[in-house]
Amino acid sequence: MVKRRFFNVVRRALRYGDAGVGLDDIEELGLPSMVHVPVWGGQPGFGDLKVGGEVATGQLLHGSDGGYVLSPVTGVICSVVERTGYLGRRYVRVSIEVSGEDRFDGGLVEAVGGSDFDFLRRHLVSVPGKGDFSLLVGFDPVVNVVVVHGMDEDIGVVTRRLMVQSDGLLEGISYLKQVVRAGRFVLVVCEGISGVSGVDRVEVKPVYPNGLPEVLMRRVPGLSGGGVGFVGPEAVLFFSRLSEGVIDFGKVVMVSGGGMASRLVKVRVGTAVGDILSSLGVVVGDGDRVILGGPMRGRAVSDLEEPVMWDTDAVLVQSGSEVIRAEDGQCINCGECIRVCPVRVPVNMLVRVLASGLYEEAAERYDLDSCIGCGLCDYVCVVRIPILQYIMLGRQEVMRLAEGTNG
Amino acid sequence: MDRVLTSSHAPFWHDGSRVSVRSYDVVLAAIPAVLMGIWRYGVPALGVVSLSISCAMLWELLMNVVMKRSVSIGDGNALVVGLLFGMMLPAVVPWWLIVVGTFVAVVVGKQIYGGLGANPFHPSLVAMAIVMLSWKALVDFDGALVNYDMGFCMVYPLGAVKHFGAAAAGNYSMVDLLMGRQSGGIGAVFGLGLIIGGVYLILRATVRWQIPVSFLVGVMVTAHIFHMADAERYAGAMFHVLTGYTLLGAFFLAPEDSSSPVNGLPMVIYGLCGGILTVLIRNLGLFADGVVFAILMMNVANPLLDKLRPKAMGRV
Repeated sequence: MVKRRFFNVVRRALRYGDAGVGLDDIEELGLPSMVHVPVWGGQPGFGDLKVGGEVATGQLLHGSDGGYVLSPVTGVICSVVERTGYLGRRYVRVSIEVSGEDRFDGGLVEAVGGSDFDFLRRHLVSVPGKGDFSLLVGFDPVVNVVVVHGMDEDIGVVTRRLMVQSDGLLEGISYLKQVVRAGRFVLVVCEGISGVSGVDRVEVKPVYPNGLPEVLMRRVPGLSGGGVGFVGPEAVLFFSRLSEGVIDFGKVVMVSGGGMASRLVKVRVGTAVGDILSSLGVVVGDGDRVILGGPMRGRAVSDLEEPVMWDTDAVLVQSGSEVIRAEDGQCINCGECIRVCPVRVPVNMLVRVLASGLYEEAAERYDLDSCIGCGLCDYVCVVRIPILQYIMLGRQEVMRLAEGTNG
Repeated sequence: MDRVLTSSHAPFWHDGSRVSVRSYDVVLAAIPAVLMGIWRYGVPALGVVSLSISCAMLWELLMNVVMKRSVSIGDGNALVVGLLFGMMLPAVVPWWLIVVGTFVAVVVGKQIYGGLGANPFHPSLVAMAIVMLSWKALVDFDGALVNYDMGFCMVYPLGAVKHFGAAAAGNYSMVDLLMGRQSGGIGAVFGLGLIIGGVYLILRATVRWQIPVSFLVGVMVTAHIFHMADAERYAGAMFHVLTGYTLLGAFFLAPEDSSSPVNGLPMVIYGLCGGILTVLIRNLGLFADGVVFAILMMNVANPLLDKLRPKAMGRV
C-alpha cells in the first residue's frame, strides 16, 4: 500500500510498478474440479440453465431472456442459483462439475477449422482478456477502432503488460481483424516496452490512472470520436492460438498479497478464487479481504467460490490488519480529492449532495457522470469517506430514476 | 461458509491520512510561536493558552453529549480552535473572557452548523470578532499589557501607526518584529516562528500554498500602494506583514479547510482579497488590525468563489 509522503506538497505519482515476475514465471494450474460462470439475465431452470445438463468446452449456454455464457470446461451442470452481484444486478451462477479432459463444442471446432467468421462472431460471447466480446462484433454501435490494451488498469498489476510482450500478438491481430471487421487497430503499451512492432502503437506513461480506457479515450489521438472497442492482449493471443486450431480458455492471473511474493498463474476461466489460493498455499483467515482485480478498482468477494472471469487480471489478498476501513465522517473540505481527480470532478460538493441522497442534483450540477471511477479521491480522503461507493450508488440511483420516468 | 471475509467497495488502498494528523500538524507548526509568546509574557500567557485549549475541548465534548453525536475531541479540531484563539489574545485577559470566547468559537462558530467541515467561518475568528466588538478594552494590547516592560517598545505597532502616522513604524526594527520583540497576541508576535510553522504546513500539504502566498501578496501590494501614495501616513509593506495577526492569518487562519476554497483560481482570489481587505481596514477603517474581519468576510465569499471551477472532463 503506497502511503502518503511526509512532505507531500509535490504529490507522488502512483506508478503502475513492477511485481518482480516475468513471462517465464507463469505457472499452469491444472483443471479445477469445478468452475462457476455467471449468466446475466435468465432464470434457473430455463433454457440451458438446468442441473444435470452436460456441456462441452466452448458450448454456448442460453438463459431465458437473452443471457448466454460460454462454458469454459467440459462437464455436468451441478448447480444453478440466482444471486445478486455488483450494484444489485441479478445473475444466475452456473456451477459445472468438470468431468475430465476437454471435449470441444462441435460447431466451434468446425468454425475454427473452416474460418467461419460469422459463426465465431455469434458464438464467442466472451474470450479470455475480453469479458463481453460480443460488443466488438455487433452493429450497435459499430466498432471502428480496436484498442489492444497492453496496459494494466490497476496499480501493481502486471498481467497485461507482460502478456502484450508474448509471441503471436501480430498473428492474433491479423486474425482478429477478420473477425471484428474494424478498420484500425491501435496497440497501447507502457513507455519503454520493447519488442512489439508492425502495428499502430501508442506509448503511455505508467502512472495511474493513465491505463483506464476512459482516460485513453480522451488522451490518445483518434479515439475520442467513439466507436472504440478495447481488448486485452490475451484476447489477441486467444485468436492467435485459434488461427492455429487451438481453443484455449486459460487466463493468466497475478496473485499477490497474503504474505507471499507475487505469482503468475494460468487457470481455466471460472476457477474459484479459493481453489487458486489454496493451490498456491495462501491461507485466508477471518477478516481478511480477497479482491478480484487490483487495489483501486477491484471487487472484494464475500465468498471464496467467486470465480476468476474472462477479464480478471489479478487476485489480491489483504490480511485483516492491512484493511483500512471507511469511516462515516463528513467532508471537511480539505480539497485533496479536487487536486487528485484526473477529470476535475468537484468531489467535495459531489460527496455532500450524494450523502444527502440528492442524486439528480449530483448528476445535473456536480458532474456525477464525468467520474471515471479511478478511486483516487477515496484513496486520499482525509476523513476516509467511501467516496467511490457513494458515486457508484448515486449512478445506480440516477439510472433507476431515469428508468422510472421512461416507463 | 467457512470464513468471514471483509468485504467493501473499491478502492482497497488508502494513503493513511486522517483528520487528527492534520490537526496535530497545525499544533506542531504553531508551537514555536506559542513558546516564544510564553517565554516573553511568562506564566499568564501559559495560563491563557492552556485555559483556551481546555475550554474549547470541554465545549466540544459538552456539545457532543448534548447533540447525541459521537465524541469528536479525538480529531484534534477543538484543540486547534482553542489554541488559535489563545494565540490571538493578549497575555492578560480575564478568565471568563476565554470561557465565553471558546464557547462562541466551538458552539456558535462550529457545532451549531453541524460540526467540523460544516462551519462557514473559522471558529476562532468568530470568537475573536465577538470579543473585539463586545469587550474592546479587554483585548486592546496597549491596555492589557500595560504592566509589562520588556525592554522594547511596548506600544502595539499597528495602534502606533494608526494614531501617529508612518513615522511610528521607525520605532520597530524588522529584526525585532521577526524575533517577537513587539507587543501583540501571545502567538502572533514571533514572525519568524510563524513563517517556519507556515512553511512546514505548506510542505506537509496540510495548508494549500496558494492561500497564504496570495494573502501575503495582497497585504504587501496594497500596503505598498498606500505607502507610495502617502508615505507620511501609511507604513510600508514589510511592517504590515510582520505586525498584528498578518502571519498568523496567512498561515493558520485563512487556510482553514472548511471555510476556504479548494479550487486553484478561487484560492488565489480568496487570499488576495483577504490581504487587500486587511490593509484597507487597517489604513482606512476603525480597527487597528483588519485580519480578523478581512478573513471572516472572505469566509462568507468562499462558497461563491468555489463556483469558479474548471469544467469536468467529458462534460459539454
